[in-house]
Amino acid sequence: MTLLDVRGLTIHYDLPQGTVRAVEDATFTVDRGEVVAIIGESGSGKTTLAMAIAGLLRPPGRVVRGHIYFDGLDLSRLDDDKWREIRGRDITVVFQDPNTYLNPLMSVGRQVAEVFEAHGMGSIRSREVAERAIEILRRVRIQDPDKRYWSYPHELSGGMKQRVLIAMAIALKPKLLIADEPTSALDATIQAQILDLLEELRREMGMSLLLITHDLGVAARIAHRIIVMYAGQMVEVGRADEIMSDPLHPYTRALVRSVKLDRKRLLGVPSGAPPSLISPPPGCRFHPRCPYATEQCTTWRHTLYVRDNRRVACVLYA
Amino acid sequence: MSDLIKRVKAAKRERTMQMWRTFRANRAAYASLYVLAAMALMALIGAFYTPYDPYRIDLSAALGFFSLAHPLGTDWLGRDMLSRVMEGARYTLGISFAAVLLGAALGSALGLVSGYYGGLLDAIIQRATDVLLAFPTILLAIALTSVLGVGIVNVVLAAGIATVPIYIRLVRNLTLTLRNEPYVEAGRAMGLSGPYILFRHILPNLSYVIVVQSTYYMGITILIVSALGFLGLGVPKPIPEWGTMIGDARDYIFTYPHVVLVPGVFISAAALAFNLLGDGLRDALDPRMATLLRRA
Repeated sequence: MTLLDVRGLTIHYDLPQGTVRAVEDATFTVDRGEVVAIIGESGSGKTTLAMAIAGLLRPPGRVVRGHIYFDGLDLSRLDDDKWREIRGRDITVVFQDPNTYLNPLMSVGRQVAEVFEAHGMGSIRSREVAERAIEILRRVRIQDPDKRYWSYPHELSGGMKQRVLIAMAIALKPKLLIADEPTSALDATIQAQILDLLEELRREMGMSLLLITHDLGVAARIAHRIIVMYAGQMVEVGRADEIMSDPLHPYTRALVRSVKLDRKRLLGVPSGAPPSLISPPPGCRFHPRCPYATEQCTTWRHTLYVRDNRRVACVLYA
Repeated sequence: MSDLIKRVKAAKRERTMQMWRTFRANRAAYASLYVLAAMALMALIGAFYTPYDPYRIDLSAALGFFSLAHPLGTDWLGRDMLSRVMEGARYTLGISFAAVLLGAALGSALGLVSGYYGGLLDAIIQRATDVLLAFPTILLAIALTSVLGVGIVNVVLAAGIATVPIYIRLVRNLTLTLRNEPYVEAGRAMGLSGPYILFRHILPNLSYVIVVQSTYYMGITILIVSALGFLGLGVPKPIPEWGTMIGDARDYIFTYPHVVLVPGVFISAAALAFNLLGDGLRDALDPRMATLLRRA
């Protein structure tokens, strides 16, 4: 059963220096209960894509083309009031840096309780709402949740704060949880705990998880499917295990190789940086860095070729 | 679950105590609190009881120095200075307090709206603020009284409105910063509405700045109110508002300085105490600061 259906989504940022083509023609689905990871470097458009799905895209960013269908609803046609209802209840977001995404002057428990209040489930001051918030804190494995309810963000560790943010996101049993680099600001040991927690909660509550990350290791740990993005375009989509064992696109190959930490083969990882999205290179956007690039790559038009149950955007598989 | 409520209440009490300890660590601020409490008490008592009638003229006792009968001496009409200072405290402190309240409320509201919503509204409010900020606060207050006329309510309005532009700037600038805080973004992601974010997340985060700033402004406003009184533009004459008292007695400044110095010392003490109190509050009200101090 499809929960999220993104079709031909194109997002531009209109800046004085020119138009940034942040996301171009993104098309994918997320099934109920599925974990999909979107992976790419900084500036590949993955966060922009996630913000658009959560309705948090701000000017100068704008959706130029395409649709986002969520649970049969066309999100691109919603007004502000309807959006507010959906955000926090059906679609929620866990952000990257737990240190700045909590209000420093409000106890963490009340910030969880606030989600209930915002969606008309009683006042933040009522005991009932407080008890529900404590229950949610317990659910994200916070020790002594009734005591922690009155803790302020500066009294908690980064991992704890991330748990609080996750608590806020799962409080109303959302259908889709978008996690934007949920572990990037954390220590390696805490990273694994947070990922396992997300996976556990997903299984318990049957929600879908859209994981945005630059870390292929993180994606491989819990994702069912992986979408690889490069310079605003999807370059490969497939099952996580298949992508890890047999990457097709040259860029994906480079990524997988870099994770496997094979010193000799690491030499094959292309150097350089992703291109400017104001004036991207003609043809395949990866060709300036690609070891397999040929003449035809400079004129090739971005297409996703279907190969078994994989989609890949490289002329090698045309 | 009642056990839970008890523990929650204990944790809250502990937090308040923490603030109080931080505040007390600042000796000057703590002392100021006593000075101001004494002055407030004096104003309160002055409303019901003064040793002499502050308006009764007794020329036989005129210009007396400090004595047992008149602890703070008498003025050139033989009026008891202590009684007059007690009576005047109510006016000086009350008017200043009301003016700061007015300025803070009006200025903060305009600053919040201006900073959060932006656009044309922001542009209009800011240009008006520019114009008002071009005048020094005291000059603005004088200009306002000359338009409004003399009288207690008008002094409150003039001194209050004169500080509004400064509050607008302060609050707007903070709102602009806070508006882009990740937790405001997170609030939007949780489905919170604009006014909710404004009052629950932005206002509390700048409220301590408003409180601290208002404490400092109490000191400045006392000076403004007294200056207006001194110039004869404030509280009208027989009323012993402290500034009015000084203005009234200025002929005796060289011959009998105590007539001028007594209200002067009270004005200075009040203004100084509010400034020191502001320093103490600034340290105590910022929870991040509190933790830093506790560790230090």
